[in-house]
Amino acid sequence: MCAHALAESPRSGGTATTGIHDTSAFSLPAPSLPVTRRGDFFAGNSFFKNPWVPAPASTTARDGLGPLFNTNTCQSCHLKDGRGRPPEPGETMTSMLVRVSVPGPSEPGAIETRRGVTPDAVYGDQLQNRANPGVAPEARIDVTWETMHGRFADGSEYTLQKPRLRVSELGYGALRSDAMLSPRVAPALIGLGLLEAVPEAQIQRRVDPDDADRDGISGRANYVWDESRGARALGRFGWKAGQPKLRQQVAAAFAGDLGLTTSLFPEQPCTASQSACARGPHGGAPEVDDRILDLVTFYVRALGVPARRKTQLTAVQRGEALFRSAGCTSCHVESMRTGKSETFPWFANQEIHAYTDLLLHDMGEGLADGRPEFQATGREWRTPPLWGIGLIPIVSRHTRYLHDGRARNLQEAILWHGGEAEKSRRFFESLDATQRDELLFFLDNL
Amino acid sequence: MTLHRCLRSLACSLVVLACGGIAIAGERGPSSTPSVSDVTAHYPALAFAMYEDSLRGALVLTRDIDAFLAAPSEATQAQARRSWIDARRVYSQTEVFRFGNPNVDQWEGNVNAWPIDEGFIDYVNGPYSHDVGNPHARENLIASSLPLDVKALRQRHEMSGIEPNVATGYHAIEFLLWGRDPNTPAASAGSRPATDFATGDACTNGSCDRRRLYLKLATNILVADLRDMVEDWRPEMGAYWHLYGALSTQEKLQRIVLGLAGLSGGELAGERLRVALLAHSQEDEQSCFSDTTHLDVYYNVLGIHDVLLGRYVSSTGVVTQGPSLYALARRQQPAVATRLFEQVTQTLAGALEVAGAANAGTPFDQQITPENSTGRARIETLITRLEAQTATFEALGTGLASR
Repeated sequence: MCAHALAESPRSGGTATTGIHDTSAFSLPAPSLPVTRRGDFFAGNSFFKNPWVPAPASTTARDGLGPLFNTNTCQSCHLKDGRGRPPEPGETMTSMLVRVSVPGPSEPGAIETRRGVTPDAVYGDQLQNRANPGVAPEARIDVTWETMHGRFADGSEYTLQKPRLRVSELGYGALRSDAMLSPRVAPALIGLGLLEAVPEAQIQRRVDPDDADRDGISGRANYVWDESRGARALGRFGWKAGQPKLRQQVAAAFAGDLGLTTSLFPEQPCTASQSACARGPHGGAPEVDDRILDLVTFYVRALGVPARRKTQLTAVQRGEALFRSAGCTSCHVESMRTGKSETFPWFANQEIHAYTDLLLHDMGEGLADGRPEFQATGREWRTPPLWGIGLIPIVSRHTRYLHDGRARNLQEAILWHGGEAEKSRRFFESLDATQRDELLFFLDNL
Repeated sequence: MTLHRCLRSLACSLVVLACGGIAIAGERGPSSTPSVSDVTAHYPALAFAMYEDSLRGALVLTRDIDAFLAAPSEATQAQARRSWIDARRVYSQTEVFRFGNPNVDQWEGNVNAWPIDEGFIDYVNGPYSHDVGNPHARENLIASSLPLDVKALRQRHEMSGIEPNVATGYHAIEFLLWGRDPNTPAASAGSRPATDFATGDACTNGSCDRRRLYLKLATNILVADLRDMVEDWRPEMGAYWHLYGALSTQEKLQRIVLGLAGLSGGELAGERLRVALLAHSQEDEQSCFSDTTHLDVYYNVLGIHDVLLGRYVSSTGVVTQGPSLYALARRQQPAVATRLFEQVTQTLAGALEVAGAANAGTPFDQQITPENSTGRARIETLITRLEAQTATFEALGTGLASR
C-alpha cells in the first residue's frame, strides 16, 4: 500500500466543495456558483420544498398534483436534500417508492424503448400510494423484515435484515403474479451537477463487460432513452442509471412521484384501466411549465458537496487504505474529472471524489430486485456515489442504506455486497474489529 | 410613520430619494474619502443600531400584546397588529446582514422562518396544503396536551428537521394575531377573531388559554432572540463584534458586499419575488397572514440602501451615520459606484411602487395573480433591477478585494 496518495484532498467536489457539516450540509449552493445565479438556486429550492396541490386551484400555479401520486413535494422524499428510508411498521411509505413492471416482449416496442421496462397494463411502472379525492390510490405498501445471521472471520457474529414487501388495498384489482417489484429509497442529491459534467468517454473507459482484465469486475454502461433528443443515451442517474440527464430525472420524478406533467413527460400516469385518474381534473398542459422545471433542475444541479472531514487523522487514513486494499475503489472510483460545460461553466474541469464509476455491476442474488431496466439486469445496480455518506445521520436523521434501505448501518451495507463485490466483502469479513472500525470511520467522515 | 403614509404617491417617493441624494452630497468634503478600515469599522456599529431598534420594536409589540391579552377586543388586537407591522419595518432592514454574517444566518431561522404549516401551531379551517411527508402538519400544539413553555417551543421549532414546522418567530406571532388569509374579499388579510384569545365562555375555536400562553411565549422568545443578536454586535463586548473585528479587511469587505448581493439576488429577486410571480400563490408570499409582504420587500430594499450609504434612521428618528461603502466605492471604482447608486435608487423606486400599489388596495398576493398584468409587470421590473444591482455588487466586491 503506497502512503503517498492518502487523503490528498478533502475537497470532494473541487471548487463546488462546501465546508458546512450540520443539518444543512446537503442543501447549500456550490460556492463556485456566482452570486448572480443564486436567485435561480433559491427560486428552484422553493419549488422543490413547497407543496403542490390538486387542480383546480384558483390562486396558484402550484396545482396539478396527481391524480395518482406518492407525495406532494420533492422535499418529503429528499428531506434536506438527503436520503429516504423505508417506513416504520404502520407508517405510510413516503420517502421510498416501489417500481413495477412485467416481463416484456422479446422484441422491444416503442414503450419499452423509451421507458426501459414493460409497464403493467393496470398499474403502470410505479405504484402510487396516494391519490386525489375521488380517485383510488393504487396500493398500500408495508415492509416486513426477515433476519439473517452471519459471522466475521474473527468469529464475531452479525445479523442482517432482508425486506419483504406487503402490497395491500390494491385499488385496481390483483397484481399479476409475474409482476416485478423494485423498492427504492430516495437518494441524496449532492454533487449531481458535477456527475452530469463528467465526459461520457471517461465513464465508458471503465466499461469492461466481459471482464477482459480479469479483475472480477465487469462494469457495464446502461444505455437509456433521452426524451429531449429522442435517442439512446448513456444513463447516469437513478439506482439503475435509468436517466441520462438531470433535467429528465427531475421531470420523471415530477411525473411518476407527484403526478405532474412537463414538456418532457406530458402524460398523466394513468393507464386505460384507471378512468377516474384519466378524467382529471388537471392543472394545465403541462402542469409544470419549462421555467419551473428548469429552476428545479438548476437547483438540483447547483447543490454543492460537503468536504471530507478528519482527513488528517491516522484512523481515517488507515481506513482509507483498507478501503483500497479491499478493492472497493474498483467501482467506488475515487477520482474523476469534469469536462467542459457551456451550460454550467462553474463546474468545468474539476477533480472530484464521488466514489462511483456510474456503471452497472452485478451485486449478487442477495441484493437483486429481479427487475431489469434498459440494459440493467435484475442483479445489476449502478455504483452509488459515497461522497457525503457519513453525514446521512446528521442530515437525514437515520442510518438506512442501500437501494431499499435494508442496511441499518454502513457495516450492514458492506456485508450485503455480493456478485462482483464478493471478494471485497470477504476481505472486509476477514478484518479484525479494529480494522473494520477504521474502514467504517473513513466512510463516516466522507 | 410618515414614510409609510408617504408610500402612496410616487411624487413623494422621489422626495425620499432626493433626501438620500442629499446625504450622499454631504460626503463630498474631506470625510468623503474614508479609508477601507473606516468603512469596515462602521458596519458593525450600523448593525448594532439596527438590531437595537428591532429589539425596541419587539418590546413595543410585547407591551401591546400584553394589553391585548389583558383585555381581548378588536381595538387591542388592532393595536397589537400595528405594532407587529412596525416591528417588521425595522427587522426587515436588518436582513441585509444575514447573507454575509454567519451569526445572523444561523440565528435567522428562529425569528423569521416561513412558510408555516399552520396546523402545526393551531386549528385550520378550510383547504390546507402541506407536505404529506410532514407527520406534524396537524400537530396543533395549542390544542395538544404538551406542557407549553419556552423550552418546549424552542425544541419543537422545525420539528423532525422539517422546516414548515415553525413554532417561533415573527410569522408564528403573525399567524396568531391575524389567522389565515382566506382572501374573501380578495384584498382582505387574515381575520382571526379577537375572541380566540378570550377567557371563559367568550372563547372561540377552543383552547384559548393555551393560545394566550402560546402568543405570550412566542413574543418572549422573539424578544430574547433579538436581545441575543443585539448583544452579539455590541461594540467592544459582543462575541461577533470581536470575531468580525479579527477578520482581515478584505474578508470584512466580502461579508458586507455578500450581505448586499445575497439579499438583492438570491433572496429578494429569487426566492421571494420570482417564485411568487411564477407560482402566483399566496403560499409564496412571506407575510401572508397580515398581507404586508409589500412592506417586507420595501424595507429589505431600504436596508440595502442603509448599508450602502452607511446611514440608518431609527424608528425614533435617531440617525446613525458613518463612513460608507458608497464613498469608498466612489474613490476606488467611480464608474461602478455611479452605476450602483443609480441601480439602488431605481430599485428603491420599484419597491416603493409595489408597496404603493398595496397601500392603494392591491395587496402583494393580488399583484401576482395571472389576471393582473400591471401588477406582474411591476414586480418583474423590480426583479430585473434587483438582478442588475446584484451583478454590480459582485463586480464591486471583486474590485475592492484586489486593493
